[in-house]
Amino acid sequence: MKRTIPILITFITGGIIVLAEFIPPWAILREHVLIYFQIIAVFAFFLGGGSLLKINCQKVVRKREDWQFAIVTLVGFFIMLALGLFKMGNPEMVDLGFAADLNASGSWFKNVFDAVKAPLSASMYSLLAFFIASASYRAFRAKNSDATVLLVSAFIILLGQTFVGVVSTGWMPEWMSFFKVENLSLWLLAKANLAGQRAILIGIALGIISMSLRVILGIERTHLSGGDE
Amino acid sequence: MLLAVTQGLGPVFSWFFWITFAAGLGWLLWMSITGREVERRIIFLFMGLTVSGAVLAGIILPVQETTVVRNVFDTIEGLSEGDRVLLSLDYDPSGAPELEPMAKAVSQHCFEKKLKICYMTLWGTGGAMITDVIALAKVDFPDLVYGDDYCNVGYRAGNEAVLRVIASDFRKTFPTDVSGTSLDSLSVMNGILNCADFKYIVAIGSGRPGIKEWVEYVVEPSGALMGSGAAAVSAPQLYPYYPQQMNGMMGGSKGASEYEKMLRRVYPKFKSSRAQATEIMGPQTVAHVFLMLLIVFANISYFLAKKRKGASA
Amino acid sequence: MSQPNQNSPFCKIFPTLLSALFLFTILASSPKTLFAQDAETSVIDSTLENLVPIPARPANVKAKDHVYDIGEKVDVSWELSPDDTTGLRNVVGYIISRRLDTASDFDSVGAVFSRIASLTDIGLTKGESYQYAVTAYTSAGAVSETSVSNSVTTEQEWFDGDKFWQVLLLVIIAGSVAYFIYHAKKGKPMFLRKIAGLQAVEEAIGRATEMGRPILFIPGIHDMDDVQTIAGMTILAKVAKQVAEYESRIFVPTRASLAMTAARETVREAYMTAGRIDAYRSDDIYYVTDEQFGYVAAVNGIMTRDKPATCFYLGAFFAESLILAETGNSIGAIQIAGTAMPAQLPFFVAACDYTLIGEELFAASAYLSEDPKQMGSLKGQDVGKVVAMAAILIGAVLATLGSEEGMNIETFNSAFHAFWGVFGGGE
Repeated sequence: MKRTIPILITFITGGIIVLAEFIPPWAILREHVLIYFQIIAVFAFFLGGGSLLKINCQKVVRKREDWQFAIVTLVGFFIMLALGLFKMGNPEMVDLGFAADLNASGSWFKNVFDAVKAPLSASMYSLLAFFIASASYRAFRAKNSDATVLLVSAFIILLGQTFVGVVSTGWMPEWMSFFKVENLSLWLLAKANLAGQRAILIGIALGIISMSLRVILGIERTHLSGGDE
Repeated sequence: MLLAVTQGLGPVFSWFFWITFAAGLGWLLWMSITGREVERRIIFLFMGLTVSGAVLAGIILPVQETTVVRNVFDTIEGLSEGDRVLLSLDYDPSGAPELEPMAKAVSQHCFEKKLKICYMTLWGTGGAMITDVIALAKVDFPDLVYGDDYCNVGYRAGNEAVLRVIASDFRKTFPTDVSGTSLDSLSVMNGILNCADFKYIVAIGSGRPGIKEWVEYVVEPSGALMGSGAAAVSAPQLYPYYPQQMNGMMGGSKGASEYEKMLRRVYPKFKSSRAQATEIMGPQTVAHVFLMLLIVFANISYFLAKKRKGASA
Repeated sequence: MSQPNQNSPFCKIFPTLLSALFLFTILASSPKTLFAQDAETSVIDSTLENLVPIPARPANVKAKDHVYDIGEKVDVSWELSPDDTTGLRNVVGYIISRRLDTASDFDSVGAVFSRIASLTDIGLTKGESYQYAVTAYTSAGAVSETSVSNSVTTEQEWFDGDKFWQVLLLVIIAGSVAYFIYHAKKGKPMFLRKIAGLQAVEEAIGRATEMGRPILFIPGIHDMDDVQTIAGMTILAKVAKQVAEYESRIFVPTRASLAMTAARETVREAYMTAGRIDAYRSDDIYYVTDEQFGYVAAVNGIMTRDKPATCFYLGAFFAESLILAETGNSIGAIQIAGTAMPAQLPFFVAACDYTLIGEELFAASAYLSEDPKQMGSLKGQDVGKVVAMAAILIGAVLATLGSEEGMNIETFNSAFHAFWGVFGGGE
């Protein structure tokens, strides 16, 4: 029972979503299924939030290692929750009440978002610059022929992205224009890269079809609850 | 060439910057030749110095225009007063440095052409991005009237499902704007029933749901005309859709800086407005050059090590 | 397609709002006279007629039920007015209006540019009968007489005939997968290409156990509605089972609440199967945050503090792929990654020890399960690959010989277009 019902639900909803693509009147059913997912995901959010609170509260209460940081998490959680729920300082609150835009300029939510969340998020993203440097220093070495192809193409594309590259081959006459770095780099992206991407994508699409069939038919059921029968 | 690169530098800082940079590179090269591995933290330090140095120096490099970006510009340039444009900002603060300049430049262009913009987003965090872009655009157009010149329908949860619905019926998902005002009372949305009713859609995004989903769920079924702005990382994956499903694309800061250049070329009044992407391009180029040097050094080190091994064997 | 051909200028509905504005004013002021069915030419009196020449009306207005819909669309077509974009009575567009058969007044439903002779009206009710009226208007604002269409009843179709070829392809591919699933002969060993990343799983877990350090498992950053996350979960089941057997410890921080719930179930079940349910700790599988880079920061923190000996990244990833993998690399962890996000594959390949590329991620669960049915599905997938390869080959040859950009040989041209119709999703 514990597995039959989930498999049945998977089979029915999966079937509806696939068939609705070809049966016009079912399109509305598919929409409903998608909306149900959103609703269920909202409930799961309570579970997620609950787990977050539980783990961090435990950390603080039991004074586990680095418990001070858990306080920061908890305080941040409740502050944002309050600012968002009650739309504090929102200039539109006067006219619109709770329908006011969460991100209206001047609202405290937006201010905290701009002052804390935006810069933190952007700095995490910018770490990529450092990691790309260390990764390419380590990985782009002409160890064998495959790696050499990778190295050369990476180099051309990097060059093509920069002003330096454009200048370095700017002297080439018109009939050689294909070999200008910016054109070579575009060719690599739009032809060589694309062909490879498409091959991978076709494989992925087939993989998804096969995986989805296994899930819909209930052959693959570890995600419902692990292990074999 | 060096002169061109350093034109934005103050003289003292410029010299200091280049001498330190060159000395550092020399040290790295020496490390490579002597076959010593450079620790990652040192590479991080170099990267940090390179980028922050270039930012502080305010290096501005010339930008070359490309067709794929010009197509977006020309499409907007070809629209006539009063035409409606849908601008979807599907990114969050982490994508903003790359994508906000695009959104700003496109907004400035539309407002200059007296086009009407409807802003929306598929990302929960996109609402704040819309507010920012509108504020930036208003610097040059302080007299814009909400509801008549632009509107903001904000965010609706549901990712692809949202797109599926608005492709055929915009008001089903967005019956009201972000503050709960009915779309029927906004003149911007007058007569807009679905996405194809917008003269042009510009989807600016950095992930999922984003440009790919716009193509799949809106452009394909409804035949709407779309251009896009993508983060540099995701741009290569989007080339398959150009030019059939989207007539143009701005890729990363480079695409944004090209758009800024075109805008300033056609409308010199924007020359006083800050060209964020063009400012980013300088440091980005320097970082690219540094990256290329790193790869070269790494290979020198690798080959010399192999040679030594071969000699000792 | 719910709208006409996207190349037709038709997709620019309502474009001439400005010039039409004038017209709407007239429409609003005298709707009855404009849409009178018997040609009351005295509609616009002679003085106005002298000022603005009245264009000839569009002829032969036809209304047809739109095919393959749920009875909510009607295709309206007409013959262009003889004055379309020419002469003194230069027609610049058409106004289309509609009424229920039983109603007396027409309501405007849209306007199109000149040279356009069709429109698809949407948002109708199934089973109702409608009539359409089309009027031409000039740049000066003069309006022609109205032509009225036949009456049309909207119908709903149960199959989208435009997608016939898609259905056929789906049936072939899905059918062969299903066929091989059910005909996978038990006991008969099937050849499977070795996937290095999966063979390394056991060794990687063993190493972590020896070192007395935990294992980190990231099922991607998408929710359970992404099949990549499901694929990640199925691998998690095998990994967790082994972790339980080796008495090691596994951490699964997730970015989606639903993924957390699924991961807990999966790991609990795996511990149960391994007979070590007492060692299962639900708090090791927890939700962190939906915010992408907040999540990355948290995972990086776990890595640098707990120094896991093995990191798995199996699921959907975006820009964080390299940030995670490089941090993992810096703590010397063995890293096994797998994703179907092509953009992130290069990053994982550069920074991880093993990478499952695209379809390998989906094949992994079948591979690890050693269940003949599941392995059969992989064989079915190969049929799809053969179809894809054949289509690419034939398409390339036909395009070279037949397309307008290629050699444009007549015989191949039609074959190319027919082929494009099947695989290219219509003309």
